[in-house]
Formats: sequence, structure tokens, C-alpha cells
Amino acid sequence: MTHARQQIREAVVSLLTGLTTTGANVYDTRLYSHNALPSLTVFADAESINNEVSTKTSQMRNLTIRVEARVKGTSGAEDIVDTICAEVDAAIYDDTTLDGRALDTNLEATVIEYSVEQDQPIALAILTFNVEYRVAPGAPTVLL
Amino acid sequence: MGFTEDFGDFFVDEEFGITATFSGSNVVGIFEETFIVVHGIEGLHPVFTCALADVSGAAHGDAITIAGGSYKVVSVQKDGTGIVALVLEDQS
Repeated sequence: MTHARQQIREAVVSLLTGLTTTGANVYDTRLYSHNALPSLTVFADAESINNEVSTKTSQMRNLTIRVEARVKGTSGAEDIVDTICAEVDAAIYDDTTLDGRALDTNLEATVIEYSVEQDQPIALAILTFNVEYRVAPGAPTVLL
Repeated sequence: MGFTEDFGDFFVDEEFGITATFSGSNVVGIFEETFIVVHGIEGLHPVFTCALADVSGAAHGDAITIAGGSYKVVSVQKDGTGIVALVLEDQS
């Protein structure tokens, strides 16, 4: 059985695959550089345990999911990256339980960066989501 | 007596140089596309270096054609010796 974190990360990848702008260019924790654009890359960055609402039989966790959107083009990169952000936002909010794996998922922040260091302008948007989920104490593969 | 550099010896299309078309004229210079990764994206950084006198009116937004590729000038970097590096945006 896989860690709940992996199950959640993979659920996000599944949820975001096939969106209008990024299509199949969706990657799970891609560490190498990208050449198929526009694209989305999903990372599970950090996790904390909320002991205030945990019990002996149920442990509440908050997982930070980072979705990176990459765009490159001669014009309108800023518009395309915003369109991708809207598609990601809508897709996640359409299923905040991530196919039954999470209690809730909320967008917490978006950061956008630009670059003209290459042959065409680049835009990178980083969307940070907080995913609340629950597991059995000592059994992080068992989602409750 | 002032020293006048002949940049024609530096930019020769039979050697490392290449002929570009700028503002309706042929210009010989050196075209480099350095591989670079930016924000996790692979790509190239195209620069055309030539004698400033050959592209004296070069400005941001000007078109230049090199080896059949269309580019737009996005930076004009004069080195103070009569040579200029035109940083380019690929229009393909």
C-alpha cells in the first residue's frame, strides 16, 4: 500500500490531466527540465500533523501540494498562464476530496514569475494548495 | 593618429560567420544559440554578434532573418569597441 501522500499526489495528477490548455503534459514530481509545454507539474512539498484535532484513532494531516504551470511563447504568456491557473483552480474545486482521499483542499497562494532569458518569454505560476486528510495513527497508508 | 579596426576580419561567412538579413541588407556576423534552462524549461538563448556599423540603427523590435529563421531584436548590447550583440526572440 502506498503512503497517503503519494495517493493524494497521484489523485491531483489524475484530476489535472486533460485540462484544455495543458492536456496530457502533466507530470508527477518531475525533477528533470521540461521541453513539452505548456505543462503542469505536481509536487508534495511538506506535511504537518494537526494534533489539536487528532485522536488516538485518527490523525489529521495537512499536506502542501505545489502545482507548477509552465508556459513559453512569443506573446500572451501572461494570459495563458492565468488561463491555466483558472483551469487548475476549477478542477481542484470541482473535487476538493480528491476522489475521496482528502477531507478538503484549498488554494492558499499563487506566485507568478517571468523570464526573457530564452528565445521566447517564459511564465511560471506556482499554485500552493493545502490538503487536509486523515489517517490511522502509525499507519500513514490507511486513509480514513 | 587614430586606430581603425577592420571588423571584416572577425566576421567572415566562410568561417564562423553567417549571413543574416537585417533591414533589407545582408550582414555577416556570428550566431550563437546557447542552451539554457530557465524555470525548469529547456531552451536556447540566441545572440547575433556583428559590427555595429552594419546594424547601426538596430532597435528593440527590429526583425532579422538568420538561416531561414525569423527573429525579433529584444536587446542591443554594444560593447564600446564597435561590436554589438543583438539578443533575439524566436518568432517561429
